[in-house]
Amino acid sequence: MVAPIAVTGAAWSTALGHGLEDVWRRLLAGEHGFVEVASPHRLRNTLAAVIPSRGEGPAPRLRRFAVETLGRALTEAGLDARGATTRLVLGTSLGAWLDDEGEWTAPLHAWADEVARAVGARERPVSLSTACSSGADAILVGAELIRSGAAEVCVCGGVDVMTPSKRLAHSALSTMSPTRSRAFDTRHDGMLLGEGAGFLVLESLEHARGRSASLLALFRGAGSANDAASMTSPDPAALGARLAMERALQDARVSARDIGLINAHGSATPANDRAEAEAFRALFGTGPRPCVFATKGAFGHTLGATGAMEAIALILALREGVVPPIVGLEQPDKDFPCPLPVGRPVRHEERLGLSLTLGFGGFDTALVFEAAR
Amino acid sequence: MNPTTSLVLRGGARTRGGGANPYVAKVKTSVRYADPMAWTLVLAVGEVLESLGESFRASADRCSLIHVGTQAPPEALSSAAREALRGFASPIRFPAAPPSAPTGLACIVHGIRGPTLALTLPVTEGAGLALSLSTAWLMRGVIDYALIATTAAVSGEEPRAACVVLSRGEGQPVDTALLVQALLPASRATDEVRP
Repeated sequence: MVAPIAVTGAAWSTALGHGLEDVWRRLLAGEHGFVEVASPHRLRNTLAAVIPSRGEGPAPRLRRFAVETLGRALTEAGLDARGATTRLVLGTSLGAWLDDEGEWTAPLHAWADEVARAVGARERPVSLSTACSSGADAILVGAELIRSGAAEVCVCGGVDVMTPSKRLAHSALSTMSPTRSRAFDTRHDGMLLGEGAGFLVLESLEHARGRSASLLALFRGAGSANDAASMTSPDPAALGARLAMERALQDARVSARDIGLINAHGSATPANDRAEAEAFRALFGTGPRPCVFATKGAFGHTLGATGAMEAIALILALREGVVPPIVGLEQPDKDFPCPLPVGRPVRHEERLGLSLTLGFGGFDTALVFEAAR
Repeated sequence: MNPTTSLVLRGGARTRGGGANPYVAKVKTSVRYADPMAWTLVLAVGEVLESLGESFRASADRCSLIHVGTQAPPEALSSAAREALRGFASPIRFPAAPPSAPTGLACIVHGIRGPTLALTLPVTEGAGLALSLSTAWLMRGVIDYALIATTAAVSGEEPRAACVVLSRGEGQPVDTALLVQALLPASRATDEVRP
């Protein structure tokens, strides 16, 4: 039996604000953070879920989001980054690499090193990039560092900024909705971009108990896989997503029947929604089907941050006994195999939940959390 | 992180780009463009997997791949960045630009469906973590084979790649120093000499 890991802190920076509880309240109210963001270029959609700007370029903006969010997560946990056995695990997708000339020639870990220095971390951070799965993979890696004994505390998650290159690319790829984000709706036609950051503080249970820390949740396990199918589209058969979820369940020593909630990737592209439907249908078979919710209709697709932000939303849903409605979902796809929260929050008494994240390049990652109550 | 003695190095390969790549035709309908660095990784992974023969082909779903390195695919990244400045984005160059794109391409070409990661760290620092993660997955029975690879773009030369494969078994134990030794020549020309 692999010992669970304590989640003792969490923080996010979102287009709906920064406070854990404030943003949660707005999610439950069905609010979204999309505003018109002017562009000199022709785009499929000029709506984006952005954090108010201070006028800085993409690279300093990315670092600021990371530093501020990391700091709040640590504060909530009652820790600081200077602990001798504290490691940072930082993920991003394309970050500012395409939009800030200073980043083009720097090593890929430069941004993470700067963030670690800014928060006073003793050791070089682990940095990774697995497209939109980056935030979830940072949590997976942080948990492994704790399990192996290499660290007692890991602050892990993802950060990303919305930039002109990403807007142009997702417009050109037609992954961007020309209307609005409507995950799992019959009228789903793509995602809208967002930006933000999300970080969890993971601790060995022993370390958390030793300092009488409050628990937000328990991390129970993780699994990942690759679709091995396409650089941009999820595998229609969703074998990678199913493998990731099966591995996460196996790692957590639980069965599909134990999972009561899922925070889906829910990008609202028809290909994503079909693949997730297929993966959930295959995983849950004829057994009970968990309630599936998604937050990209509120936060936008925050790319390298999304996996961590969704993990936080799942943790809050488990802790509070309620899931927020999927913003934009009005006419659920009849072929979707699981119940969906439409129009209003849904109360529940579930203890175990799963967060699934998919990324370009076929990266699929699933995380299992348990309510601490 | 202490590597276990029941983990063995099954093989390795070092490759350079520029020559004929037998894998391009295999996926030309599904992958219209990939960076030369990514194709070089595909070659290195292919050489390693070829040496495993049938034993790998039956285990493709149970093979992981961790890429370690500090460079994004340079041709695709610079192309996408220049295009963005002009207010244009290529739907085939953009997906080839992220640091994780070589890993994704290698998985498509070789059918790898185990856990996959791109650690954006120098080999000297990332190899130990890659070994620890691979060890955990192998010992928990998640996978049967673990690939750890690196790539490097070298100014004025073709890109380089190196890949090793680990499995459970009897043999010389694997430690971080051995792993770095196997991977480092491919990246020495770039990130390892940075101050």
